[in-house]
Formats: sequence, structure tokens, C-alpha cells
Amino acid sequence: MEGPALNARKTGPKRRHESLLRTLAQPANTVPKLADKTHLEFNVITSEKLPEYARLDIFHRAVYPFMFLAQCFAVMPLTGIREPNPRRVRFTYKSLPMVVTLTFIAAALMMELAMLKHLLQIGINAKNFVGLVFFGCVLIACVVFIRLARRWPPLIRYWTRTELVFTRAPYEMPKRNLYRRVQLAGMMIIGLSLGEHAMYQVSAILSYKRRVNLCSAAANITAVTNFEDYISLNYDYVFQWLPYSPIIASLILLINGACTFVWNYMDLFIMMVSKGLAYRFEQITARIRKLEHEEVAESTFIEIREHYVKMCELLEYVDSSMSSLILLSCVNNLYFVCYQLLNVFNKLRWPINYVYFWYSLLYLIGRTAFVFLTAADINEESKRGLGVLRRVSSKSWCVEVERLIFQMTTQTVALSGKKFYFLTRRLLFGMAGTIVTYELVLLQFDEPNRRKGLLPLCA
Amino acid sequence: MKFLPAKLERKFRRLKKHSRSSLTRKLDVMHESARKKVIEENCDAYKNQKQSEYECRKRPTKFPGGTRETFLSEGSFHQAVGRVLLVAEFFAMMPVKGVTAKHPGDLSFSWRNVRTCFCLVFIASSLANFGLSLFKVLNNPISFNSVKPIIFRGSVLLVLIVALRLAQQWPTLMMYWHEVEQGLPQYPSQVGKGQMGHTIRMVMLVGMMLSFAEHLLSMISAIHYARYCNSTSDPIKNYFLRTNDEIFYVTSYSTALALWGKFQNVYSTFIWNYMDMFVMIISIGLAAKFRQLNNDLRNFKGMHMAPSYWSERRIQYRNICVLCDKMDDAISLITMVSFSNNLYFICVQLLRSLNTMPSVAHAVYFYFSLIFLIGRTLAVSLYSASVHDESRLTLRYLRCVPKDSWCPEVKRFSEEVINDEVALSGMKFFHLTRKLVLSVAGTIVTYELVLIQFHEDNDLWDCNQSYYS
Repeated sequence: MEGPALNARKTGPKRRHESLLRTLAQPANTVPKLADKTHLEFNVITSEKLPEYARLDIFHRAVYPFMFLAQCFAVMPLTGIREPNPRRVRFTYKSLPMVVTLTFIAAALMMELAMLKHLLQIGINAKNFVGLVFFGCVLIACVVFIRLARRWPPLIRYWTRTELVFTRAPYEMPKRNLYRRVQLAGMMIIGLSLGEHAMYQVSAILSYKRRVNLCSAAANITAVTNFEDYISLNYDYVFQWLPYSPIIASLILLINGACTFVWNYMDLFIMMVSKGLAYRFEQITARIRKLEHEEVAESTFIEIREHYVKMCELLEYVDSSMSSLILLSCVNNLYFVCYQLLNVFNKLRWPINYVYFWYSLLYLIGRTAFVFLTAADINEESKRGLGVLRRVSSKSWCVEVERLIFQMTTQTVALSGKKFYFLTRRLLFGMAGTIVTYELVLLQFDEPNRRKGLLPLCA
Repeated sequence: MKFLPAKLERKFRRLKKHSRSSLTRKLDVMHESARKKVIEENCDAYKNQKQSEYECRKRPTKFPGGTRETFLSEGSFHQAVGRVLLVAEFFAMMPVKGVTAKHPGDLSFSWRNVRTCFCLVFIASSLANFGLSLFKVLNNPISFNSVKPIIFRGSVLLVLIVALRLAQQWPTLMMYWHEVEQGLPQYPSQVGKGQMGHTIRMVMLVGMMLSFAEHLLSMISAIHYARYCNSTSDPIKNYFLRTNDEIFYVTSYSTALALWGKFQNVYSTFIWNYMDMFVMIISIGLAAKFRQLNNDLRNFKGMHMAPSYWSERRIQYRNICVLCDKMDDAISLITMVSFSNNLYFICVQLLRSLNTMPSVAHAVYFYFSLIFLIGRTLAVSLYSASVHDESRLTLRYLRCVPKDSWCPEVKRFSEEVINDEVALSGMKFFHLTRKLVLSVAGTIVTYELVLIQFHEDNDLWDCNQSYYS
């Protein structure tokens, strides 16, 4: 039965009844427009009707909400993301998303240059360098995303072409489908990052208020706290260039928020792509597991190996497009984790500062670990079929099984950072060890500064 | 198509003939013959014109060697690397005769050649300079920074000696390379043939230009320095006293010695840069051979090929691997010296960057040379790692072989590709792959973190310290 059962799922009697009702309720499908050649290449067999992309469990449909959200924040300017057919995704220089992105890049660049000028005046040290690194990373990430957006339309077409074979029998849909997995993880990261940004603002505002109250009480003048004063204090490097006005202040807040989103979106994107790839390898493993105690013809193994090779080729293609982004994200995470860990033993003034610091540190470490583990999942899933393959009975053994085992054991199937390192579990372990080593050395350097304690409040 | 019966046809034809008067028919014939004559004349004129043009072209033109033959290249490594080696020969490295010849059979090495004698003289002079440097450093307090001139001149001397030995083996190596190249599947177009040569030339050009710029900046910075540490009134004498202080530590100033010191410095800087360029160029050549094989395999990806095809490709792959081994044995010491050198100089320069700079000229020169050093190290690492990467790409095409064409030959081929580590190495201590770049970066950061502890801010811009890096 075609239609909703394209995603063949082990349905119980109740579910089957529902799906039957659904197919009957649908209007009769129209004849595919064979004259339109552009649709032909997506048909595995030309006599079949067009796949209904809106219903299929494909990667494009799973990630389009987040990619659309990213477009609103001026990242990855593509048109036609919300359409079900991946062929409609296009990248053009003369489009609204591109204009928004370029405006955002210009504004962030201005803030970075303002900060650089300010820091060159007061002297750069390891503590205030972090702002420059933050804006620098966001700018480089924007440029990397624009380059990725240029290559995205052919990539998503190739991806959908490759994964269509996994949307029909004999492949089964795993327990939670791709859409739900990506949604869950994405919502979690976005929710936690919103919490972090909100807590940053709360901590800054409360500290400012308390400081103004305490200092004016000590100097016996009336306390005046308002929005203008707060913004001028916090973003003083911008107001050395531009005069103060409420519009500029709100623009600054908006750009800051957008920069925070882009900073988080790097990891979110890598996580989404990893989940998409690991999902397909999981389906292959499930199919291999089903064959465990059966007598299998050689043609099945030929087919399985062919699909495995296709997935490996897809992974290599995605890796060559995304490698710069992965490298940038790793460097970014490494730097910020090291920087935050340096401040672990610092004394802070008020409890709200402690709450914000620990929340932000745990969020950072958690996000880094989560992205790494998700990416390492691809490598794990690709090898999970080995256990079953090695137990294939002598009657079913053939050259194709041998080839598949050889491939699974010898090739590293994983995303990489420009082929310098592969994202596997071993790497996460090694990176943790390196971070601990560097922290132990750097904390020694910071010892004299820390002994000074808190600086006087009202300078 | 005949739509009239034959009799009527004939009548019709006669009618047609009679429709024209004899005069017009005569005019027609005259016109026809005149036209033919004009065509013939024009044709002859045209032919003569073309002939004269061709001869014009064949005659020696304003540019000697401006014929098509000189611009065609076979795409062989020997031809691509010829001019690069010629430039090196002017700087007393690798004295091989016949590097710009068309065929590697014309290469020869002889002890009685002018080039070899020049090389030996330069080695002797470098040895003297190294001895003087060593003497000066050993007579002063030794620190991590003060051994810099010894390491610089020592590594240049070592590379010169190794290059002399390499020059002896070069003719045999190039002949073997030529044999391997002849056996590989040929490039489909002239563009493909010229690719490797183009990359090699670009690398050499960019590298030499940047190192020349760096040398100029160092001279400007040394002139500023000489004005700052002025021990005598003559600025030129100050300059030479600064840059060749190890010579004037033992002898008094003289112009001849100053010129000799300057000549030694310029040549040493070139050779110090050329080490890395040479490793890069050999890597580009080897990676291009693997790429040639991979491109041919890609054309037949997924198709049903006979076992003889796979057997042929496997043997060609094996030949390239053996070539890689031979080249590795020949240049291994140069690679190792180059990497250790880069590691040491990056550590030292990063440490020096913590100091305050006496002037803008210093700062500009310092940061330019640091960025050039790091860029050059990265370029060498990435180009040499490309040999290993290209050799592994073959597996991508082998895994697409369909079941019907699978044979023991393909199995043997894929097992060979996986198990054999084909890469350049540093005396077999480490293999040049991308993983190495990461571990070298980690090593540098670790050493820096420890060295920063022992850092003292005052003594690095000391007037008594040896300047030359």
C-alpha cells in the first residue's frame, strides 16, 4: 500500500486501521507530470508517483524549522526552505535573507572594531580579550555559513536522493523519528541558551542597580538608575564612536542577542546534521540485526553494502562542505571552556553573579559535550552492525559480507575538522585530558591576580 | 521524382534548353569560365598567402624558442622541477648538471664540475662561520635564546651536506621517477599535464618573494638597531658589526670580512627557506602521481572491469609507493631538520613576542617574520600530508567495485592500500600526516606554557646579543 505506509513501520492492528482510513480519506493522487523532467531524478522507479515530501521522514523536513529560525537571525540566507520539495531550496545573492545577513555582518563588524579600538587604548590582556574573540568567532561563523548556504541546495538534493531509499521497506522507522529527535534536541539547546542570555541580562542589571545604590548611599547622593545609564556603562566602547540614543541602544541589544544566537547555532547545526546521518546508519544496523537468525541470500548483502557505501559517500560529501564549521566550532568551544574554567576560583561580589557564572559554565560544558557525543554517534552507529555480521552462519557467508566487515573495520566513518581529527568518542576523552592539563598550568599563572581579591566597588 | 512520362520529359527538357537564346548561353559559358578562373586565381593566391604566413611563422621569430614545441610539456616531474633546481644551484645547493634538459637521462653529477667545487667551497665557508658562532656562544652565558645562531647555522650546514649527497643520487632517482611516470595512465589533456608544474612554480615564486621581503625587513630593522646600539661612528660599520658579530668577536673589522659575512648571511637565509620549499615541491610531485592514478580510477568508478585492469592499477600503485619510499630515504634528513628547525624557531619567536618592542620597525619586522614562519610551517605540513591523503583516496573507488567484478586482485589491492602507510617521514621517527600537524601544535603550546615561566623581560634586546635569526 502506497501513501502513508511509505515509511514502513511495524503497525499494530489499531494503527493499520487508522492508516487505512487516512488513505481512503485522501483525494486520488494526480498522475505525475512526466513532461516535467526535473522531477524524474527523484523517482527511484519512474512508474511510481511522486514522493510526497511533506509526509516523508527526510532530513530536509526535519530541520527546516530551525533553518527558518536561523534565517530570521541573519544566518544561512536561503530561499524556499519551507517548501516540502528540497529542489525548491535556492541560494541567490539578490534576496531578502542575504540583505539581512549582510546588514548584520556590517553591524557586528562595527561593534568588533569599536571594541578593538577601546581595548587598544586600555591595553589587551587575557581577561578582556574574550569579547574580541566572541565577536570574531561570530563574524567568521557568519561568513562560513554564507559559504555553506551557497553549497546547500545541491547538498540537500543529493542528501534527499540518497536517503529516499531508506524511507521504504525493508528499512523500518526507528522508535522516535528524525523529526522528533531533531526537534527535541534543538528545543533543548535553544531553551537553555535563552535561559543563559536572560540570566546574563538579569545578573548585569541587578549588579548595576546594587552598585549604584551602594555607591550613592556611600557618597550621600540620590540613586539614579535608568536604562540609558545602564547601556552606556555596559557598552561604553560603542558610545565612544556614536552618540547615545534609545534606537542605537535597542539596536545594540538586538545585535548582541543575534550574536549569541549565531554562537549557539554553530553547535545546533552540527548536532542536527549529525543526528540526520546517524539516523540512517541506525536504520542499516537495524536491518542487519533483523537478519541475525535467518538464512540470507547474497543479493540482500549486496544491497545492504551498496546502501552502506552510499551513506559513506554522503557523509564524505557533507564532511567536505561542513569541515570549516566543525573546526571553528571546536576552537570556539575549547577557548570558551578554558576561559571560563580559569575563573572557577575567582571571588564574585553577589550571589546572583555566582548563579549566572555556574549556570553559564555548566551550560557551555554540557553543550560542548552534547555536540561531540552526537557527532561521535555516527561513528558508533556505523560499526554496530559488526557484531551481527561476524556471527553470520557459514551457509549465508559470501564475499559481500567479507567486504562489508572489511569496510566497517578499516574506514573511519565520522565527521572531521578539515581531516585533522575525526569526531569520535576517543577525541572527546583526549580533549578533556588536554583541557585539564592546560587549566592546571594556567591556574598557576593567575594565582597572584586572584590573591588580590575583589576590587573596590565605587572607583 | 518523375511525374511526367519519358517522352514528355524529353520534350520538356528541350523546351527548357530552347528558352534561352544562344547569346545568353554563350555569356553563361564565358561567365562560368571567368568565375572558375577567378576562383582558381584566388585559390592560388590564397594558397600562396597561407604558405608565406606559415614560413613566416617557421622562421626564427623575435623570441628564441617561441615555437609550439617549447610550450608543450610532457607533464613530467623532471621538467617541472628543472628551473627550481637551477635557482638552487646558484645558491650552492644540489650541484647536478642538466636539470633543465628535457630528458632525465641528461642528468649527471661529477666531483670535478664547477658547480660541485662552488658547493664545496661554500660548505667550507659555512663550517668556518659555524665554528665562529659556536665559539662566541660558548664564551657567553647559554640560554634558550642564545643558542639561536648555532641552530640556524648548524641546520644550514647539515642541509648543505645532505644536499650534496642527494645530488649524487639525483640522476638515478629521476630516472626511476621517469620510468614510473611512463607507466601511469596518461593525462587526458594538456591542462592536466601542466597542473603540477604550475603549482610547483607558484609555490617557489611565492615562497621566494616572501622570504626576500622578510630579508629586506630584517635589514631595515638591523639598520635601526645599528643606530640604537652605535658603538662606532660609521653607520655601515655599525650595521656589519651588528649582523656579523660572531666574526668580529675574534678579529678586528675589515671590509672583506664584512662582505664575506653578508654574503654568508644572504645565502644561509635562502637555504633556510629553501629547505621547506624543497620538501613541499617533492610532496607536490608525489601527490600528483597518486592523483593521476586516482583520476583514472574515478573515470571507471562502479563499472565492470576485467581483472587485468585491476592488476595493472595495483602494480602502478605499488610503483608509486616504491618511488615514495626512495624519495623519502633520500630527503628524510632534510625533512627532519626542517621540522625541528621550525618547531624551535616558532617557540623562540613566540617567547620573544611577549617583550615590548623598541620601535615600530622592529614590531613590523618581528610580526611579519613570525607570521611568515608559522605560515610556512603550516604549508609544509599540509603539502607533505597531502601525499598520505591522496594515497588513501584510492579506497573510495575500490569500495564501489560491483560484485561481478570482484576478484582476488581487487581484494589484494584494497588490502594493500589500507595496510601500507604511504607517507613522507622524518628519518622514520614520525610520519607526515594531518594528525601530526595537530600534535605539533599541541607540543608548541605545551612548551610555550612552560617556557613562559622562565621568561625574563630584560635581556632579549641586549646590544651584546647576537642579532641574526
